Amino acid sequence: MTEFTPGTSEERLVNMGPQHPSTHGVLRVALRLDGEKVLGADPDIGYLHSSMEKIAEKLEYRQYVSYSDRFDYLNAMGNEFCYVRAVERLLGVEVTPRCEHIRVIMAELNRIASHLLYFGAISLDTGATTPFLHTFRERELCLDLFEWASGQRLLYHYFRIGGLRNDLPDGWADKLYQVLDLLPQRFEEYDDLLTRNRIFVGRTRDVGAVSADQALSYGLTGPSLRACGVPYDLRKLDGYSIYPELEFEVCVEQGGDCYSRHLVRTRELRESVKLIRQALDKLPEGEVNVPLPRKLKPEPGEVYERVESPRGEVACYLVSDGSEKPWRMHWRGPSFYNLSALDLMCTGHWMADVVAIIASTDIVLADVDR
Amino acid sequence: MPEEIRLETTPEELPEFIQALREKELAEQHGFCDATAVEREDTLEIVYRFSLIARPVQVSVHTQVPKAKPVVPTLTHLYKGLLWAEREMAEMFGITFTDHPDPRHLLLPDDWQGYPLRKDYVYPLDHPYLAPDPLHEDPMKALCPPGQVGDENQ
Repeated sequence: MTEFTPGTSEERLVNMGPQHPSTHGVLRVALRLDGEKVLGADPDIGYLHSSMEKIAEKLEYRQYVSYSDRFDYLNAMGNEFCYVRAVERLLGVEVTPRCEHIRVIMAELNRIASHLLYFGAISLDTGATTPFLHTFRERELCLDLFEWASGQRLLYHYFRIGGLRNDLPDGWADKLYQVLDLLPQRFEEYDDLLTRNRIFVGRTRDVGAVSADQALSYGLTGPSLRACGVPYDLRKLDGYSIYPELEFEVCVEQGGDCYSRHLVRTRELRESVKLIRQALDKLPEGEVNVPLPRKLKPEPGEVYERVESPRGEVACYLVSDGSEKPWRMHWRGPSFYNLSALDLMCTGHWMADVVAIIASTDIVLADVDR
Repeated sequence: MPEEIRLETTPEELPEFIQALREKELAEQHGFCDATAVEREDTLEIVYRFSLIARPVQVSVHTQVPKAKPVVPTLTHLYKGLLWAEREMAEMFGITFTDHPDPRHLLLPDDWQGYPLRKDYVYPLDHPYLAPDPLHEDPMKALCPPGQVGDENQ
């Protein structure tokens, strides 16, 4: 924890957070300032630490699915995806094609919902209220679809080991097609409101820039890394699940600054719509669950399963000792490493830029602390 | 499914091993991915992971340190992502990373005792953060102790 120490007359330490609307959760940043210039930013995390890794050692494999929702709560479907894939690989289980398609549809729809929340949050943080209201209107459509399929609006517990909680309800796909028709028009509206707005561009361009080498050394992933010109997208690279059968583009920008990160996300929104439409078009008929024994006892061994979340590479490292409970479970939270580069991004910029930088890294503090 | 390359080394040779790796398996563009520890019988296993960018290849480096005296040289001069990863391992497993530039607690409070992710960890129920809250036991008694507020009216 950074303590207040009297510096020179020009240098002072200012606390941003822990309770601050722009820190996206409970984050304290100790800012070392010279006037309005940032000399250093020291994030103080751990306020939301909830021992997710220790809890896993006390629970059976099936019981943990609902916990995996709860760290990156804006990407609950994506985390479940990662966790159930890890356990299925440990057990050597193959899920049905219909299940794989529905999983990808859900994960991509969740990516849209998460990016829409990011869009609203960065607009609020840079001083525009209107785009926030617009993106939340469309995010609501996604959440309604999730609620219809899983019964929940934020923490779904929809993916199960070996399948899904239930098949899609009747009429769900038609409603999703309607939403997919609407969303691209709305994305254009957002770009008019925010992405091409002079004030927004002025607040974010050339702010918080990192080079590709720095980003790779800090372990940045997701839009933060792709904004530096590194085409690292696990959906393309690993080609897990049904992604190799779908056509989409890896969105890469060159600047490495807040505006490039923003552009990557605005383009990814459109790519996700394309992905969902393709997966929905070829959604096969059939069962969504494969029968599994009541007690899951994987062979001793370990897996490291990684998937692409809206924030980057989320990965589950699972070590089994052959019993009903994991011996050790470790989560690689993308926000954890993305936030660790905050000092690098903020140093040398103005104090007001810190807010834009935190918003552009799109962190979820529960994912940082786990 | 990414190709996984599993390598093992000793804690003493770790920095040289990673340096040598950067001329062989990690010669092309790669990123630091993750680092964590796993408790084994009488050692702690530290796992460093790196991902290649152009190909689906993942390199993991495993090293075993004795549970009684877990000391490893820091690698923060090679990969900045380890600044936080090593701090987390240090407080959760009690591993000492020699020459770490910033050896403070990361997630846990500064005065936290014990290493929570070790198997023999006992929850310190007498710690103020975990002790039963008198407010939950008897709110009236906790908020209005006898002889203070409102007593003159009784």
